[in-house]
Amino acid sequence: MTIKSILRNMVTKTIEWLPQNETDRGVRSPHLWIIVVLLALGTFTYYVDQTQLINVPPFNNAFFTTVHDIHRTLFLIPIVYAALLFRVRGSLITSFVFLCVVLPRGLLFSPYSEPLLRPLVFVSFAAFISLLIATQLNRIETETRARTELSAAYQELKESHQQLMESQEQLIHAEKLTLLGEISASLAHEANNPLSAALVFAKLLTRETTSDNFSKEGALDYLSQIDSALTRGIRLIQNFVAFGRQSPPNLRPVDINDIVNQALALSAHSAKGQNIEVIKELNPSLPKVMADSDQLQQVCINLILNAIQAMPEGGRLIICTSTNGNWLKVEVQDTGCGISLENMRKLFTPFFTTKEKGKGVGLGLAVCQGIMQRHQGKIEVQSKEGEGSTFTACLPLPPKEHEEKATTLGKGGES
Amino acid sequence: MVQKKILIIDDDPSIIAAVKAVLKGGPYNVFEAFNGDDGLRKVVEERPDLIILDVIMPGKHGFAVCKELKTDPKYYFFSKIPVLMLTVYPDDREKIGLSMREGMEMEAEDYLQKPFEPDELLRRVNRLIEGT
Repeated sequence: MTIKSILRNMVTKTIEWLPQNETDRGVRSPHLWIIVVLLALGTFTYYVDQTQLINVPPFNNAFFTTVHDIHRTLFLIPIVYAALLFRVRGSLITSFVFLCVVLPRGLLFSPYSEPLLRPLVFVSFAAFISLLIATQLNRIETETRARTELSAAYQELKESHQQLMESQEQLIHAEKLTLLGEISASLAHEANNPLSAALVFAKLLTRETTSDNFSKEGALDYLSQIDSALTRGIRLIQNFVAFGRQSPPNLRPVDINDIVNQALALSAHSAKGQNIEVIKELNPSLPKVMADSDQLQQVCINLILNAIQAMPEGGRLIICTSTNGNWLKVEVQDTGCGISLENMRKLFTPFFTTKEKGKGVGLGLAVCQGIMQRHQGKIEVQSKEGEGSTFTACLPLPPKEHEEKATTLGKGGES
Repeated sequence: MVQKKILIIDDDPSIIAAVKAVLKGGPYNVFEAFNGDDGLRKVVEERPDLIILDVIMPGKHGFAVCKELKTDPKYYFFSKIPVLMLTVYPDDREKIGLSMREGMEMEAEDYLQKPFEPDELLRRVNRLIEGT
């Protein structure tokens, strides 16, 4: 492990030290001249030693004759250097130069019976070593580059995923604002009632205080009426504001019935005056699930408003909560016009809408599906044209819950 | 003086309380219904002298109640009872999606916009009751 890492470190250091760009590896590279000089030096000492062409001091002493084998090995230095710098090309050319340098000596001055054997062995050894280095370096370099590219691409992917998540959140919020726009008219209408009542009581109170037969009880009665009317108005507006604010996604254990009730409090006013009967069938013993209550409320409001809009002639809107297998279900059922088979397929496609221009851009169900998928849930649709539709938002039950259920069921079976 | 019966049909208890508080001083017997069907039943039971009708209610909206009262043969004997409609906007009809003609058909005797002046409500109520 450590030796491997030291070796890896050495290789990386070497690669870093080598010229990195293509111009440094060209003909003008100073490294090229170093190689040429080294080769020339090698050639010179080789011939001085091996051929005794110049049998003159200081070359004719014992040192040069005893270490003469080193001269051939010295050729490895420029060859390896060239392989490091110019890779396969460098190693082949320098090996060829080496061959050219040693061949004449082998042919002309060899004292051995097989004159070409030794030079060829040396040259092929040098070529082999340098080619090995060149190819390995190429491989390492390609791998390093690939790894850098991969990590850059991964970083980019991570960033764009982050952006996608953020824009999905923005989309969810934008859709929430659309919903608020849709319910605002009916809510404003609804808030007008307690405010009107409070105003009327305030006027009556003014008259009471200025009249001759002022009674404290009467005034207090008016004040308590004003109090209750205003409290109701404020609660309506608080609900509205709470739903409208942009909050970061926040998973908490939530009671699905609370969410349905809040959603109904905000959206059921839209059903007023439409001859729609709203029926709640909430199972009171549902387990809490981890979810973002704002987003689930948004899904519920969306489904409720869709159901109301599907029944322009009036009808029944049934909301029920239940558990089924591993799922916690919120069913929103209407007795409206239903959905044609053709539209059924496009139902969750963004920007698909059957509503009139200005009534919706067709993001509601797409966003609902996005929200449910974020919760590892789903939305199911059943519809019959002319009879109505049922939208079911399903959330996975926490695994502990059905384990417990399974064990209690198992025990029940045994006893 | 004979007490006149006034029926308020409104789903909002605070509005009912406000109307009742305004009419408290007069010689009126005020009773209420919280939705259209309940209201129509009480019309038959009590035969009020005036109906104060809200527009936006769960179930049947005010205009539908008014139309039923004025045009359905079932309510023939009650069709002359004056109706005062309480609206938030003069154009509540648009919200409900009624055409102009339908709106005309279910014409009530008078309209009053919420929030209303207590005196204005009293004056209109008096005028409508005396008109019959």
